[in-house]
Amino acid sequence: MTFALPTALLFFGLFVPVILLYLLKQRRRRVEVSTLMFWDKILRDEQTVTSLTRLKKLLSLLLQLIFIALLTLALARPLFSGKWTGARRIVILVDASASMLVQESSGTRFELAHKKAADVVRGMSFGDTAMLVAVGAEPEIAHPFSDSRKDLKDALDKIKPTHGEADFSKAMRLLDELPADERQTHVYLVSDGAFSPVSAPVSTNLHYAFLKVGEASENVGITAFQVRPLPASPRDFQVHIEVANETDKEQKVPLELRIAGKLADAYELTIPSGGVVNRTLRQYSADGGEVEAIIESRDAFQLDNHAYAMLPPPRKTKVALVDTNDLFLERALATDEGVDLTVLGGDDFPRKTNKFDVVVFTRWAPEKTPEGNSIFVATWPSDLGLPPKGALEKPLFTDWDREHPINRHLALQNVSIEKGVAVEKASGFIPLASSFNDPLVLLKESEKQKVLVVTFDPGNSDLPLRIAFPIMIANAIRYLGGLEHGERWQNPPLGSILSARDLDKFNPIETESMPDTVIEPGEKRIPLNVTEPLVAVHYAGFYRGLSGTNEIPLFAANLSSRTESKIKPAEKLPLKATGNAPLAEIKGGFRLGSEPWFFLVLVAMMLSTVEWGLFHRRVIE
Amino acid sequence: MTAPSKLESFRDDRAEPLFDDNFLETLEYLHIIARKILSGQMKAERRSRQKGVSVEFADHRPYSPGDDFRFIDWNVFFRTDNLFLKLFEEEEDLYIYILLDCSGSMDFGKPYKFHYIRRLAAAIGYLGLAGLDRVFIIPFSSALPKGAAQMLSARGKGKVFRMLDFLQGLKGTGPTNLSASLRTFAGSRRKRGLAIVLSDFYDANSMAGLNALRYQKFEVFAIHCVSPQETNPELLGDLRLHDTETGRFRDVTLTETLLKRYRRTFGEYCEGLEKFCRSSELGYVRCRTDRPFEEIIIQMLRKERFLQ
Repeated sequence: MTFALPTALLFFGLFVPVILLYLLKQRRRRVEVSTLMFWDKILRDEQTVTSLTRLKKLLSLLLQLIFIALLTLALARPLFSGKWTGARRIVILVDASASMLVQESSGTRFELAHKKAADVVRGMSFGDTAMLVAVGAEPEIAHPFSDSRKDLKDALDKIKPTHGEADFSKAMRLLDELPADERQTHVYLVSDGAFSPVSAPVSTNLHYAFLKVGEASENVGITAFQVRPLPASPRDFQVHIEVANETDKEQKVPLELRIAGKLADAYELTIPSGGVVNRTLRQYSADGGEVEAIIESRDAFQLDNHAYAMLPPPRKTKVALVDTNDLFLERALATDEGVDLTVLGGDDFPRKTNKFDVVVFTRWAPEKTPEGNSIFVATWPSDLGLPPKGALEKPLFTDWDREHPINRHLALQNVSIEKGVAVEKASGFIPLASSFNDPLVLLKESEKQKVLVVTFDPGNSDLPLRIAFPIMIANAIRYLGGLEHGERWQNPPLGSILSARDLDKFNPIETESMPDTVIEPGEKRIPLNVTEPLVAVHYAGFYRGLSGTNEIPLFAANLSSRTESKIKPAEKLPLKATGNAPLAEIKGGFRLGSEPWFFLVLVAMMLSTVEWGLFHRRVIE
Repeated sequence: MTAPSKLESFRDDRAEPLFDDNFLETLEYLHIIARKILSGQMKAERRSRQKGVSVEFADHRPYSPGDDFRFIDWNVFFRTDNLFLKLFEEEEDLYIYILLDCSGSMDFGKPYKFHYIRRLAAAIGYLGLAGLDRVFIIPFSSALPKGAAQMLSARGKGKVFRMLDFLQGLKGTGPTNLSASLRTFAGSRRKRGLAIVLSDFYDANSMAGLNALRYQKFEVFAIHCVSPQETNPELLGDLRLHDTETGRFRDVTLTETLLKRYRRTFGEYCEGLEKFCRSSELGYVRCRTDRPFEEIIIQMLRKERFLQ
């Protein structure tokens, strides 16, 4: 036993004056009476047992000393060992996943969970400490271990359900990492349990209880939704959607597809009971924008009836062709919808090159390698570090890296080339295509610059007459122009934390200024810290950026989770033991309701009452 | 080790004058009231119960040889042929003995009990003197005074101031022995009369004293004087009680329960005394010192047929 305020024990010194006062003869008030005749008669009856009177006096002193002792101990606030008091360490895991938004008859599952968690907090006894964990995609400690019911209740009030999945396996790992404690650890899982059982740590001190919330089980929801532009036609895009039916009957569900808020198409999906339907739909959008899929289903879980995706507007790559009348190349670039072509003469260079994404030099090259992304055809600057070692007669495409984006969809076999330039092996250059050991196409990449070198003149080959030529040109332009960012078309998963770089990646409009505020789907605005902006993606819907007064579409987030769409609550604890030993369940037991000082004061008050009674019955001879 | 605490007394008003002008006016007022109450019943001015020679017929009795022939009732003889003697009430001075308790227990109370009892005695004495009766004031405590100078004997209204001076000179002190005092008084007086005992009767044998008077053919009237502090003491806590009569101390822790028991015991004692007086055909009146003494006198005159 320890004391929170040991200095209060000095009050035991009050024993001394009390005992002294007891030993001193009591000073009485002297009062005149005309006769003691009547008092004698009364008191004769009263004092038949003098030993009892003495005992009463002694008992009175004893009670006074106990009274002081109890109050002193109460002031010192004794703290007992948890083993003695039955105190517990409580971990309340509150499911904050999307399925907790299922509407039950008496409120959402999360509201019911809130009540149950509040009951656990209210039921805390003396010595209990509780930790509150909101379990979403990542378990968040809403409040560390504390014995303050008010603080815990406040923290509980601040927990909000997310639109993502709950990863209880991470929460279980959190339990594993708890520091050792002599008290028993009681883990309350406040959830619908609508997830696959996860492994939970087992120990003699660890006990579990499942506080189930929810009854509804039928649901139809979108479990996957993605859009991507077609590589060959950036204004066309594909929509992939998956709808699951978690009911006992086949469901016919109307599906609406909206682009930029306008109805683009409508379908009816027939989904078998317990099954899913996948559809890949082709759509067209000249400007891109927000894409939504909405199914009409009157189930308890509305969140998965709506899916979101952001389709960035197509953007043209600004290309300059420094030309010496290479008509094949000029036509190949001019016919590409994704290219904004400018043809320059040698005199215009290098004055106007800065504003282009890619500059193509053919049959002519400046003396020095310019900044920015460049393609050199047949000739290149001497400072590029690619010295020629002689002519290459009738080379053939014998090897090319088919995995590289520039070589995608290319068939280069049997291309006849009249003449090329043999080059020395140079560091930093990757050969993308070779004629035996002599490279024909080389790529040099750094953080700031990409340079592609073609060592032969396509005009001296039949390559321009082949289908591979415009594809190769388009691939090269997109690769060097930076449009081959696959991530650009993806939506970040719910629960992810995005940094500034991530935001920039999702920013479809390449503005130089970063958004200073992110607007969440619920219109909540999150100001971004300039040094380290972080945005947590917790809610399904469209996220927009705000740069000054300009609103920039950023990305969309979706629930799209088969697990969360299965809303049927678990009937028993959705945990499984990691070893052979079974999980221990929480049982009742003796626990003090509050700190001992309260009981000490209570006993002191009772003793005071007894002493009062003794005083009023006391007669001293 | 403890220093004696200050004695709390209920006699703070004993310094006030015993008989002032107002008191004398009250006495005169009482005399007028008494005359009105007793008008038509008084004869020069009081009758005794002794049979003797007077014009007031009292009774008949059979004739015995040696009786005075003058008192034979001849009318009765002619009607009955038997000789009967007419008896007449004897007219003589009424002797009023005012027995005043001057023990230490009277030296108490607020209003001061000894003042009160002396005023009562003065009022009764005044009425006696005004009625040309012989008034004796006999103070007593543990015994009767031995010398004649320690008691007062007076007759006629002119002795009022002497009576008042006498009363003023008395002191309430010493223990009470009421029964012994009354027995002594009853045995020493040849002349019977009205014996008015003014006391708090704090003597367990007080009834024996009253009986002694009764047996000696005194007309006895008990005036039981109590103070409010005695009937309903407002005391609580750890106290040291000091008996003003004996000087004895007693430590007591008073609670409401004990106080209730005291009140009950005190009430039973008073009622016992009253019951005894009633059953013995003695006059009795209980007066609390917070009641004006003239009210007590009027009550005595009206209800108790006092001085009749």
